[in-house]
Formats: sequence, C-alpha cells, structure tokens
Amino acid sequence: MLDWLPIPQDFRGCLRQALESPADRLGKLAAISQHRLGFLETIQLDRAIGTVCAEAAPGFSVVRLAILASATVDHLVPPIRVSGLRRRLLIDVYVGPYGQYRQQLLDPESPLHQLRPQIVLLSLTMREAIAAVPLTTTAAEVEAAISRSIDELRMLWRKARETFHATVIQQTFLNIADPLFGSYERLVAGAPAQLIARLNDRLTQAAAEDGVLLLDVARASERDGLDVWFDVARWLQAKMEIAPQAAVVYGDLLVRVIAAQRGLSKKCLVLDLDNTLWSGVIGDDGPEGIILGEGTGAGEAHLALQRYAKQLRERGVILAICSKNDPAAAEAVFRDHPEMLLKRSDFAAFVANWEDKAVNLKRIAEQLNIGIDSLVFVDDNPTERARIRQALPMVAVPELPADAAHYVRCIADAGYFESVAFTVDDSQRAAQYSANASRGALLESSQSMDDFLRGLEMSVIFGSFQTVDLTRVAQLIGKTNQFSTTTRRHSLEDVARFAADDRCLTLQFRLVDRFGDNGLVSVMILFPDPQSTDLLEIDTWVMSCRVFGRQLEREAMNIAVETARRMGVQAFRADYIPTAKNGVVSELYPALGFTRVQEDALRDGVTRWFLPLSDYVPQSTHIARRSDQHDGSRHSEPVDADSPRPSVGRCYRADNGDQAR
Amino acid sequence: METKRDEVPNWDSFAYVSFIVAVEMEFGMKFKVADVESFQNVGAIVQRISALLPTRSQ
Repeated sequence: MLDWLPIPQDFRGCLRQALESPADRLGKLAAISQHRLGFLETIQLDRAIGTVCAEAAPGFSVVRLAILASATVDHLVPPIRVSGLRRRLLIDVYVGPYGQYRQQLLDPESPLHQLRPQIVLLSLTMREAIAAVPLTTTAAEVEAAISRSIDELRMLWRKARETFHATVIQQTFLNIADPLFGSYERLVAGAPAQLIARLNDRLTQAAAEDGVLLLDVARASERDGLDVWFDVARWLQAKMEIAPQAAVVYGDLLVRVIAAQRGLSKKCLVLDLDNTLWSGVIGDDGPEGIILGEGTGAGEAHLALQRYAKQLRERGVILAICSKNDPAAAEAVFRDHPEMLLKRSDFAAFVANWEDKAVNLKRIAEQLNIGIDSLVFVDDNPTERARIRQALPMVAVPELPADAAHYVRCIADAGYFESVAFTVDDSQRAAQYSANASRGALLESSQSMDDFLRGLEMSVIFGSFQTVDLTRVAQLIGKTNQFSTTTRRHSLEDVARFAADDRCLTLQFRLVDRFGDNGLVSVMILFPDPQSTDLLEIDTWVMSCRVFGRQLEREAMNIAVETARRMGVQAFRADYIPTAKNGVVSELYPALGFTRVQEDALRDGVTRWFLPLSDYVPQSTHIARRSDQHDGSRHSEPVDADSPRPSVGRCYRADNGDQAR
Repeated sequence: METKRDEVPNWDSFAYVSFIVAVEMEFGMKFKVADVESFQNVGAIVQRISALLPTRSQ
C-alpha cells in the first residue's frame, strides 16, 4: 500500500518533534505525511493535525467535504485528512449520519445545509443502490431496474449541486457479490455479481453525462484484490464496506480527485537517463553497451517505461530529462540508438550536465514556466531521490522499486497525473510545450522582443463560451494559479450557468502562431454589477502560462472593452486577490490603464481597479484577429450544442476535430 | 485485565472495532467474528491473542 512513498524513518520521533514545536507544526506534519504510513500511524498523524488551528496555516487551503454514506466510513476520515495534508489541503470532513443520505440532502434543516460543502461524496453500498432480482430476470428487466437506481442517484446529484453548488463525487460500487455461476456469471443478467457490474457501467455513463466525478473503488479493488478492500468480518462487526487495511489507499484515491479538480495534479514527468530509461551507463558502456529494447526482459522493462512516458505525453503530460551526463553522449542516444522509443522532440526540456539535480529541476520548471510543485522526478538512484526530497520537498519523487520491471506500475499507482477531464487540447499540450522550445530558439535568434513577437505571426480566435468549450474553460479556471486575477474556482456547472446568462460577458481566447495552435489559453468572466447595468466586474481572468509575454492580455482587454461597449457598458471594475503564486498579475490592471480605487473594506492585500471604457486607449499588439466578420461576443445567444454557431467557432472546431481523428 | 467495555469512558461499538483492528494489525492475526463478540474483558482478549500467536522460538 502506498508503495511509491518512502518508508518513514523514526515515525514516532518525528511526530513527537512536530508536536513539541509550535512553529511550522503543520509543515512538519505535512513532511511526515509524505511517507508510507500504515492505518494506525495515519490515525496518530491525524490526531496531531487536529492540534493545529486551520486559520494559522499559510500555504495550506481548506476544503469542506461532506460524505454521505450507507456504510460506516468514520475509519476513512483520518486517511482522507492525511492524504489531504500530503497535498497541502486541510480537509474539513463532515460525515452524515449512517444511511441517512437522502434525508441529509433533501431536508433543508439538516446539519449538511449549515456546512455548505464544496464537495459531496456519495459512498453507497451495492445493497443500498439496487435490490436483488430473481435469477431468471431478463436482461431488459435488469436494465430497467438499473435505470431506476441510476435515476435516483441522478436526483441526489442534482440536489447536491443545486443546493450547494458542490462538486459531486460518486463512489463506484465495490462488487462484493459472491459468484453463483463462476465464469458463466457474465451471461446471467440477474446474477448479483453481473447486476453490479452492469450498474457500474451505467453509473459511469450517467456520471459522464452529468459531469459528476467518480471515485473508482471498483477498479482499485481489481488492482489490489477484493480481499484487501473488503473484509467480511469488518462488515459484520461494524458495517465497514471499505476494509481498514485499504483505508490509506482510499484516502489517497479520493484526495487525488479533489486535488485534480483544484488544479493540483502534477504536470511534468522528469526522467533520469542511465538505469532509468535504459539499463547501463551511457558514458561508460557506450551506445552498444546499454541494455534497451525488444529481445531481453531487462531491455523490454526499460522500453515499457519509455512507452508509458510516451502515452502520458499523449495525455498531455509534459516530458523532461534531468540527467548527470555528458550532454553530447545523452543526445546521441536519442539520435542514434535504434531501440529508443522516446525521441528528443518528445521532451520540452532536456538537461544533461554534472550540476546538482535540485538546481537543474528548478531550471526546468522555470524554462517550462510551470510551478516546481508540478514536477514528478523519476530516478533509480536513491541518493538523488533523497537529495531532491530534502532540497525540493514540493517535487514528487516516487520510491522506485529495485527491479526496473516494476517502474511503470510504481509511477501509475502513485496517481500523480489524476485528471477530471480529457480534451483534444490536453492531447496537444505536450506538443505545444515542445513547440515553445522552438519559440525559445526563435527568441534567441531575434534582434529584439518586438521582432520576435512579429515573427511569431500570432492571431487570436475568440468568442463567448460555447457548449463544447465548457469543459476546457472549467479546466483552465480550475488549474491556473499564476495568471489568475482572483483565483476563484468555478465548477463546470457554474461555467455553464454563466454561459447561459445574458447579463454575463464570457470570453474565451485561443492563440495560434506559426509554430502551432496553443489551444484555449485564456478565459474572462465578467458579471453585471447588481446596482448598475453600466458596470461589469471582472470576476475571473485566467491565462495559461504557455502564452505569457505574448501580449495576449492586451489584445484580450481590447476585445473585452469593444465587446462591452457594444453591450452598452460604461465601465469595468476588477479586483486583484493576491495568492502565493499570482504575483505575475499584481500590476496587470494599472498596465492596462485601470486606476486604483481605495476601499477600506478590502483586506489581505486585495486591490480594486476601475476603468471607464470611454478612457480606454486600445493597446498595441502583434496579434491579429482570426476573423473580422463576427464580433465574438455573441453573449445573447443561447448556449445549445444543436444551435448553429457563427463560423468563427465552427471553422476552428472543425479543424480540431480533424486532428482528433 | 479485568477492565470491561462499559467501564471505559466514551467507549462505543466503533471504538471497540477500531481497537480490535489495531490489535489485529499490530500482531498480524485475525480473531473470529464470534470471538470478538464474546470478549468480556481485556484479559480475555490477551488470552485469545496468546492462543492465536505462533509459539515464540527461544
């Protein structure tokens, strides 16, 4: 369990030390949480977390989670909180009374309604979800029974969203039914095990349609074995459906989903070379001496890691190399070795030198313009791993097993790249980062920044949110930390609501240049002021770090002002809410011509800015607009997938669709 | 050893099962469900653990 985390050295000693020091106690406890703790150690650590006041925790954020369950889940709470701490989340867990999930959701007087959870987890047993049917029930009747169960779940999902605007996570059903027919089971629609299998299929489909996230314990129990996840003794004694020995994994699986939704998943896989991507040392053994490729088990094990990295890249994970090596020898393997599956062009950053890897990892994060906490560092050498854990505790460093055969499993089990959506843009992201490396080369060859930007031949494609954009829009809002003026996270449901609201101005921007399409890279949401129809407030403005320094913020503001003028708006108001990461936009509004408004009510470094649109001087940029026949505002159109869209959006998406095929 | 469940403050069925889980994990053994329901005091649990553990070699 939790095999990717290092084994703790002196757990009790570290815990005592943390409890004795009032300074940065949470930081010390978070460091302990980065280890492979068992269930009992997890409970002890959780008690220690309880001694820290959540308000006095800079760098940690609080999440309110409500669990509505039809089984005992109290033993899962410590692992959930400890897994949260591992990701610098302080999870405030509310456990609804046993089995009363319907009443909790439907009764406005229930304690759940006071808590106002941000996340509602429905953790139901199969017994609760669907009644057993006679074995002779036809497949059609089984499907009808499942439909009734799914409809009931959907009602609960809808209720949780409407009442709390909460993100809903539905746990899949642990299939604990004992087989009656053996291998023939799948052919008997009414057999309990088959009934649950179908229920999980249909649940997945409904969740995808409704934008509900899944916590897939059914899949996890296939990975670890049902006996690890379900212990009938615990069920009989305490109605625990998830066994205590699986609880630490359960906590991590759940918090991965929560973290992914908040943009805290890792973004970049940094790989070592010698004894990681191949067996042997290229500097000593030479290209003929290293073991890699088909033909030997050991060579295929390293090839499997390369293949997995390549698949992650297709998923949108950025790849990088960080190796202590002679750069020419390292490059030569990628160029000349016939068995290399990964190519030099698959990597957005490639660092081979003899310097400290901690320095090199910082350099890679800077070069890619991503947070150092979004790196995963994979190295077979325990000394290098220890060095990075000590120097850069925010970097994830999997404790690779001794045998390279198990490298892929270790990285996969750790769930670093958990996701809550997958779009065409994701699949192109890694390539976009590689293209950014080419843009960097252009920058070096250009005389000036101005030449560089002109040479990029940029154009922007923009419009209000359309149905097909919503997932990507919500994703960008959810995971952007740097260029983010307020860092207000809006769920997919919120975004859909804003898109459908005529009074809101929603804008999404895509940037294309001669090296390729950067995808949907910026989003603005403006709300009408309740007091004045002439005034719009910039509630949210985010931009992907991929396109920093490209003048897109200027062109975006030009577009926002033009569009708003056409709506009859007189002025913009905007807040800047500082966080640990968004310093890059602290002077954004004054740079765009806004003036500061002093208000006593503003706290915590928040600044408020104002722009009368009549005063606005359009900013000069090197960005062309892709279409001149549509204004891109379209704010009054209904958001409906079936309604015809103006050609700006459609033409673009047709391109995208072709690439996807 | 003579301590009974109802003599411990805040002791409930969940606390009891958590305790049993902790004992099982610590000693790497499993009680029968029926045993767990029949333990009258701490001494009975200790006795059962000794019976279930393999005899220690000298």
